[in-house]
Amino acid sequence: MSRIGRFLKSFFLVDMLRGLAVTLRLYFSRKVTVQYPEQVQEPAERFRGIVRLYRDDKGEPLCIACKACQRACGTNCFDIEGKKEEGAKVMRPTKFDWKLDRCTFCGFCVEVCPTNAIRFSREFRLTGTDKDGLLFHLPDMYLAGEDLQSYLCAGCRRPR
Amino acid sequence: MAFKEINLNMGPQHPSTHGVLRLKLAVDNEVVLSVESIIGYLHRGMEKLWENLTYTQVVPLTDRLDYLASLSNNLGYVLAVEKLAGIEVPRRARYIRVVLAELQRLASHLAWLGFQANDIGAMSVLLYGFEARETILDVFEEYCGARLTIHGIRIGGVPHDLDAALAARIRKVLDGIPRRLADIRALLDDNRIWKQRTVGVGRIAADDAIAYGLTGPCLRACGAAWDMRKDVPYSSYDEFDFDVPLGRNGDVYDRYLVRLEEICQSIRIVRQALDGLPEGETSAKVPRVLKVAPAEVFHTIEAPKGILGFYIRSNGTDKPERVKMKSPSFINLQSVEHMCKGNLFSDVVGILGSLDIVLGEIDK
Ligand code: SF4
Ligand code: SF4
Repeated sequence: MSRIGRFLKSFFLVDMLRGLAVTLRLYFSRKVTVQYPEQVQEPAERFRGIVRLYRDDKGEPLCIACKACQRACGTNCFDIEGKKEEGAKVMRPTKFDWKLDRCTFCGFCVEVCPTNAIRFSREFRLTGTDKDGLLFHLPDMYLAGEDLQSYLCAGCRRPR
Repeated sequence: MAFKEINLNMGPQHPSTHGVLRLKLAVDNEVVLSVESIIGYLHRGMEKLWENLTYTQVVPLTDRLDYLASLSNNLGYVLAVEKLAGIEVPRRARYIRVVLAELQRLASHLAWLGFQANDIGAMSVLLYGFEARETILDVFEEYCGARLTIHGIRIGGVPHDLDAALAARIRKVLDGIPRRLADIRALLDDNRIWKQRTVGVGRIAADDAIAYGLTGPCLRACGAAWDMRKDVPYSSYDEFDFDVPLGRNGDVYDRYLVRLEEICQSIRIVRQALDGLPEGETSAKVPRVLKVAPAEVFHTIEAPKGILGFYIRSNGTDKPERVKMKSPSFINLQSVEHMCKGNLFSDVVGILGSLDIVLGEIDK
């Protein structure tokens, strides 16, 4: 480009006007911001949210207390103890502690579980008001949706 | 005015240090005389921690090093373990890894672009860059369920297959990025403020850059052509056709141009990998408890920030005896004094940003 061309370009603020044209066009384009919490974006199918225990179709718990998840977990989230009742076919957990504050959402526990008892939920709201709310015991592992939320947030109000 | 040296402290809580980095600056009026970087505020003892975990359990923790490009860390570590244990990865898995790693490079460069422009004062670029990055993170979310600390690569392969629906989605995302990039270029390329803050600022010659061990886009901005993907190909990179963009002056502006061009090249690689995606397995057979006979290995890859290397020594158990990481951000940071000396105080922010450092990786 000639020197005069460059001078004219810079004198008439061509670079600035080009930039302003972009911002002006995008100012009137469709907004992309999701206004959380009024709008909530649905997480993807495989979303790795809080891990939960699941029951089978008949309502029987799937977990057989094999502790495979406990061994696979790199951050020691689990503390599981199991017992086989008289006459029962499989072991069942008597203690199933899981610590949300240690979880890295890596997915190893979900991948190793032989009965598919432990799975990721799509729950992405992980905040609690108290550390106690981040420690899950066996019954809490089946919570979902708003129950789970009130569990997380009610940590401080729960009787110890 | 008489010469007067003033010591200034920048950080560790400073919006432009990209984390908890402290810089001790000595300035004479506006001119920087020396810079001393003080690190360690984010030290988590990662390398020591890994000695107590099995080879597999380490992978999700590598996410936490360079958290803007977590998948590249996964890839670097996993490739080192595979080399150590002699695991042959199926071709389809290698291609999927390339797709993911290049998408991660795109996301990392777009985030850098936003932060860098924001540091220098162009706020809109941050928003536009992040909008484009968001679409890539959505792809990761659909692929493996996480957006930032992805853990998207396993030893021996990849956790999920890349189906046609996801491939179509990735193509759509790739179509959108050049348009966003054109907007950003219209805002910055000729902008006089941007150019005054970047052209000729933070210069480093190719010899000095090599002597300092600078790698990645910062090195290529000086005109030294060194890209591990091209020169020491890993994970099937030799099967793709792409260029290594080079700069000339080694200043902040050239680093910006090199990264922009790398974004275009990454898009090319992803398209080729999607077109030529071979049939087959997505994972090799890896024993659940991986025990590796005593040996040692060092493997490097081209991460978005530079050359990322992992040294691993095994001792026959399922846990590594020692893992040492060569992190690009840490080494790139060492040349900050050379680049800042003699420049204006206000340019320290721009120079530091142009190095694209992430403190998670520096402090480990
Ligand atoms: S997702 Fe990973 S860190 Fe979390 S409980 Fe499962 S194995 Fe442990
Ligand atoms: S959740 Fe699965 S892996 Fe864990 S103890 Fe129960 S059955 Fe075993």
